[in-house]
Amino acid sequence: MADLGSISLWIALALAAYSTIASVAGKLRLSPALVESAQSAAYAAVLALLVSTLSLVIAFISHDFEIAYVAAHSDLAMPKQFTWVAFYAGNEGSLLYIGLVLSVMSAIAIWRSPERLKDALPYTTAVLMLTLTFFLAVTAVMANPFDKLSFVPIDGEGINPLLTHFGMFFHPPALMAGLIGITIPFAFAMGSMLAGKTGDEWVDAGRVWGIISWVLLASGLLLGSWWAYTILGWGGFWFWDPVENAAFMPWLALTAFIHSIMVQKRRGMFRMWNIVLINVAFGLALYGMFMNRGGSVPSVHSFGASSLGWVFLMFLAIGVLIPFAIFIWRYPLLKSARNLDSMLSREAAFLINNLLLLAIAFVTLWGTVYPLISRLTNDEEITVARPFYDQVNGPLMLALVFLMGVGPLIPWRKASLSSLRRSLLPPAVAGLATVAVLAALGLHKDYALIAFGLATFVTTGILMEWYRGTLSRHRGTGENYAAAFLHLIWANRPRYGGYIAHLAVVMVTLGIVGTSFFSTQKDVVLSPGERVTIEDYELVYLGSIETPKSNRTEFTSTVQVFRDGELLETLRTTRAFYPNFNMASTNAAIRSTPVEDLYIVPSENLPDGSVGFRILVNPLIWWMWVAGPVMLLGTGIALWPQRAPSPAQVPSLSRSAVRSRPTTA
Amino acid sequence: MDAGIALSVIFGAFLALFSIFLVGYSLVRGNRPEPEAHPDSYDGRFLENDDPALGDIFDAIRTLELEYQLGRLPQEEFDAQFQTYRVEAATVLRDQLEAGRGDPAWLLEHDILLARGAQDPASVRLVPCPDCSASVPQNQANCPHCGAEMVPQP
Repeated sequence: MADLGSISLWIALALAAYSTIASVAGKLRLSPALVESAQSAAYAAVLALLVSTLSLVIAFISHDFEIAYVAAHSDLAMPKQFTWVAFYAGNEGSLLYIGLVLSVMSAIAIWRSPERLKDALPYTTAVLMLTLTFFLAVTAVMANPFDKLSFVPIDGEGINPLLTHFGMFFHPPALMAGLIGITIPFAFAMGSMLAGKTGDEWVDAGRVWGIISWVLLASGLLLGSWWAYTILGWGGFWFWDPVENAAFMPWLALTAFIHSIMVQKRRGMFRMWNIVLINVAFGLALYGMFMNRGGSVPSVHSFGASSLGWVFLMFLAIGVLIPFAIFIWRYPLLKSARNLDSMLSREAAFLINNLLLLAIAFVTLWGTVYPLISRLTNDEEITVARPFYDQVNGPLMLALVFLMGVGPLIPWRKASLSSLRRSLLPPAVAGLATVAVLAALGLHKDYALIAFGLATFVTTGILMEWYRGTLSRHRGTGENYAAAFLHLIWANRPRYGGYIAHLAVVMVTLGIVGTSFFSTQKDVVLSPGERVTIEDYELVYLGSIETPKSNRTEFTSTVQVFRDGELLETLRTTRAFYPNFNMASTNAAIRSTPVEDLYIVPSENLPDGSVGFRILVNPLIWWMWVAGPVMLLGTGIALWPQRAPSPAQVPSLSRSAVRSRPTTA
Repeated sequence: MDAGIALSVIFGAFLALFSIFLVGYSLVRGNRPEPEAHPDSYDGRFLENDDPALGDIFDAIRTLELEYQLGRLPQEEFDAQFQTYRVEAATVLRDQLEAGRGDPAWLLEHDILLARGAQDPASVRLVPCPDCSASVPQNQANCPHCGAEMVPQP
């Protein structure tokens, strides 16, 4: 399998390189046949990479320890289902995975490319395939997962215990796919610029692929948080770790982009700005990959000491400088069809939202690279910790939530004060009422009060929109309320899908505020039969059972949970020690409700049978995990293909006229 | 040679040949005539609508926008005229549909309008929604498609 995998990898590399050159040559020599051949090469690369990936997966399943990568990331005791996780557990396999995802996404993007982008498509293909060539070249030459050992070991070293978690099936692949997926909208933007198509031709494709990457990154970040919460044993979910930040920053830039691109789609504005945003997102994605593979800032996520750092640094420099040069070259052609009509408009709200998102990204970038800067300037490494991010990003995020409530409620172009009052007054009143009620109930933490008020403000605004639309539809069509509501959502999917995604952000906000301001923690050592009280829970530790397994020793501790003298639940939490890795992993016992989580994790098992427990009560965190599926639902609705407008509908002439015949003003 | 290696090389060679065939096929076949745009592509159908009346309205909008951008037209005037042109365009499109009554899409729309108002669709005056551009009967306060508030028509 090693040979077939390696041969397929080299074939894929040759195809990607050919596709890059043939696309440009075909375009310059006006040869559609050559361009088509380049596209066929892009499709063939998918097949070659699928064979390569399958070879590696089969090598894991068949315990082919002659392959160094298989020996380093699996052993005979590894359950079969973790083969998929082991596949991308190391540098080499994850690079192959990235290559596969990029090739599949590129092939779909080329295949489904809009007809109006035909002139730009060869350049788009070239950008995609050049990026793929880079990743495949690095994989084949510097980190080949099919390299063989000079001997065949009896057993492998085993998979990292921290990766044997359900979340690992989705968290790393979603994040990696999200990061590399940014290449697609970036390639459409660059292709259009190179072809001189500096209008709005690329907007639809850019928006669709931007949202796909965005939701992949969002899912990856949420799943990563959930993984950290359940297995890392410290009771939190976000550490502001450099590699967490490296995935968070492109997500912020993409969030700005998928909002801003709507303005270009609807109003023909922000053309330059959108090019800048997608360049920034792509640059930050490359930075994230550089951090992950030999970056100079220490992180729990990085793939250990790797010699790939300088290669990724070079690619980062190229990936930032060349698009910037193309932007400067095409700058004179990037004039928007019209200017901002008023600062009281949805466009202006989008612009401010963009600036806030970029500000958060910049603060996070600054905190991430500060250790490096301090080392270069002072010979002393100063690491920036959570208080910095909380103090600076916290208020910015609250402002963002506020705008998330205002944006959808104000009209495009220009809002009158009376219409603003009509739209914003009910949600504002609801938000202020929430603050007043919570303050009256004894809640006096300013940030938390503001956050709860804003969450109510946003939710009320969205519910109001739904109510108004449903009522109008019910009156206009005679449909019952449920049908009217569903048809309302279905008739304008991008808009209402976006609202659902906004609700998911509100849920995440609740989770963050609940755990940041109201979490209670206790660290105790309990002997069997001992009790401890936290908030209104009483916990009784019953005892631990030690179970030796082939690659670890597992300690399962049983705890009974009482409230008001009544037994609520019996929880079991485990702590396993892996001698091969000299590492322990924990699996927290969590009693989760929408109000709060009771979180119990063993930190140490002592010889006398007593156990050190960390016990937390985390209010509202349940909402954070529910936000993931809600966000997926919203994005799915927003992305669901919309047929061309039916003939009885009227096109938005402002767009049509400008797109088909740009003004010369 | 080991049987596994031989098999890998054979399969790899097959993969390489298949890729070469795929890539070379377009080159051997040569350039093809331009394909027709797919009606469901992102382009939509209205951008390719070659009705001269619609073209005239687009031209008028273009001129209007130019006038507005040059500051010769106040906002209110621009809004009013722009809305008028949109309604005109809607009328042209509707006339196009009237001309092609056999079209299944027209029949469907006809049935929907009949079901909605139990009246002749020709008597229903439609105006475009300012937010989602859907056709909305003039007497509606909100768009039944997206819920946006309708701008009162003169």
